[in-house]
Amino acid sequence: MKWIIKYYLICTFLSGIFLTKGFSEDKIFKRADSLMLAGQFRDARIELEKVIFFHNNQQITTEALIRKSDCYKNEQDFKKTYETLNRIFLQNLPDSLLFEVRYEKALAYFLNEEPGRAIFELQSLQKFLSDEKKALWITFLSAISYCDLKDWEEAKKESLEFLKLNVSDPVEKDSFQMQIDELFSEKNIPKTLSRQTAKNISMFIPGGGQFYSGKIVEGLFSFGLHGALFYFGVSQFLDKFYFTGYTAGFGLLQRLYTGNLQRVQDLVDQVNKTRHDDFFNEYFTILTAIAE
Amino acid sequence: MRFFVSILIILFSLNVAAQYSISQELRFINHMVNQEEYDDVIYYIENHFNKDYPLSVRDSLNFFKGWSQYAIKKLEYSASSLLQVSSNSVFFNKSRFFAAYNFSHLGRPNISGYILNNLKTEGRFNNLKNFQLAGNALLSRSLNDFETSFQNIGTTNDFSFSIEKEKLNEYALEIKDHRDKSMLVGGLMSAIIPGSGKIYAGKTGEGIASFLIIAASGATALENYNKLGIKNAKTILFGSLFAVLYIGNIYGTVFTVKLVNEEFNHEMDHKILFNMHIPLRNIFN
Repeated sequence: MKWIIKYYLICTFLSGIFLTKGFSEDKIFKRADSLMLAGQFRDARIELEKVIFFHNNQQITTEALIRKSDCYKNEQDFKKTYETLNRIFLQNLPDSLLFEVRYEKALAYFLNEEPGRAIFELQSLQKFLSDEKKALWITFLSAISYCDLKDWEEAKKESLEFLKLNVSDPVEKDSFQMQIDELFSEKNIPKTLSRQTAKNISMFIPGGGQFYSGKIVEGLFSFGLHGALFYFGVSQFLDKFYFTGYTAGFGLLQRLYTGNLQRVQDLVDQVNKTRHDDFFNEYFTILTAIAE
Repeated sequence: MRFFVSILIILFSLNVAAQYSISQELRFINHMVNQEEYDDVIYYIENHFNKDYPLSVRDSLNFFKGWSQYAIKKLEYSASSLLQVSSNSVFFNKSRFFAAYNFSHLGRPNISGYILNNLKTEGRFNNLKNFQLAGNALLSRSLNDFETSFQNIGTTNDFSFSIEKEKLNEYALEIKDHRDKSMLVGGLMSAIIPGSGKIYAGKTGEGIASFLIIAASGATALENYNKLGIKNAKTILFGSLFAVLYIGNIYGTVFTVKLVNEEFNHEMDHKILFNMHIPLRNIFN
């Protein structure tokens, strides 16, 4: 009987350990963290959702949601990343966590190609700019988000702010400033071509839209083809081959003409994208060089 | 001896303390279903639960798995999981009805009918069963079976499917009046007057366009033949072009008639399935 009581007490004691230590934060996230470390993000996410479901403590659920969003980020599902962060109740959150949540949300928006929403989220972090380390993160993300939005003025402003925060050596600073000024000079800022202009030019001069987009060879080829079909149509008419002139000459010409109008508009989109991507890559290289 | 017993108890206690109870697990899975994390639900059930659990637990797991598969449109798997839910489960009726619906959606209304016919139902569920059977009969284009099941629905004031019931009746009349277009007639018409077969199939615009293109290419070939003779390269080129367009148009017409017939059936099936689905969601949600 004595040893039964003894073992009963041991069990009670163990339960006590579980009830107190079991709910300590480290233990709660131990399994999820090890799964994340092993790269098993799906299992980790499920484990974290379980933590969220079974705990009412706001701090624990917030931590779990941040970790869960991190899993989605590692899986490159950025929409789910910010959706998970949106589940966090922001009121009464300590500043350190508030910054982490909002910053991660902004980053997820940017990575999900929604720079406008990233900027909006970053604007709510203005109060953290007094902290130098946090200011660095905020300005870097703002700089690339504004560039993605094609807001060159703000992008330049943010990159200069980032430079000011990062580099103290005046020589180095001047060198980077020159690079930024050069990049944002009138001639380097990517010009956005207009679809409508390209279409209008091609309506009057077939192939002109390609010239406008900088595709000279394609423009010449298109112009030549239109000319050849027009010549064929007219010559057939003059030789009294009316049906041949109409069908094989003008019929084909009309098809080519309408197709070409659509083609130049697609070409403009392509050129705009390439120009912007090249500019962004160059800008990003400068920013990372500043950060180093 | 006492030492070993104490070690065993310690290990057992630790193990119990570290795990969630099965009822907690089921509540958690239900929570994930509500969060619409269907892929994770399926993954979790498949990888974390074996077949040694009691029947009631397995029923719940099969239901949650089947429901998640249904939500992400894996209907074949969904039907298979839902059919494993036993009659003791609270999810039994819902599982059977949705498994049957999955088969209807997969184009197998006969299997769906088999599941429903073997389901013992009363009152409201009996009406729903007959309504689903009527839908299946329409999907099979079996109007006699439709009449039987439709009459068995009985007079009901159940607003869950009163509108859908009327709609099924309308579709039955539409199916009854519908006659499929003949591919042979369409092809022959296009051989005599290019494009007329497409007009017969109900594609008037396409028919006129085909006629104009073929007439223009025919006129071009004829013009070159009259002026340059049959052996001239231009005549051969435009003549060949005309022949290709002419024959291609006949083939195109046959294909168009086939598509138009399929289009009608596809659209009708879609409407029937849509109306079969609404009462299921109304009653079980």
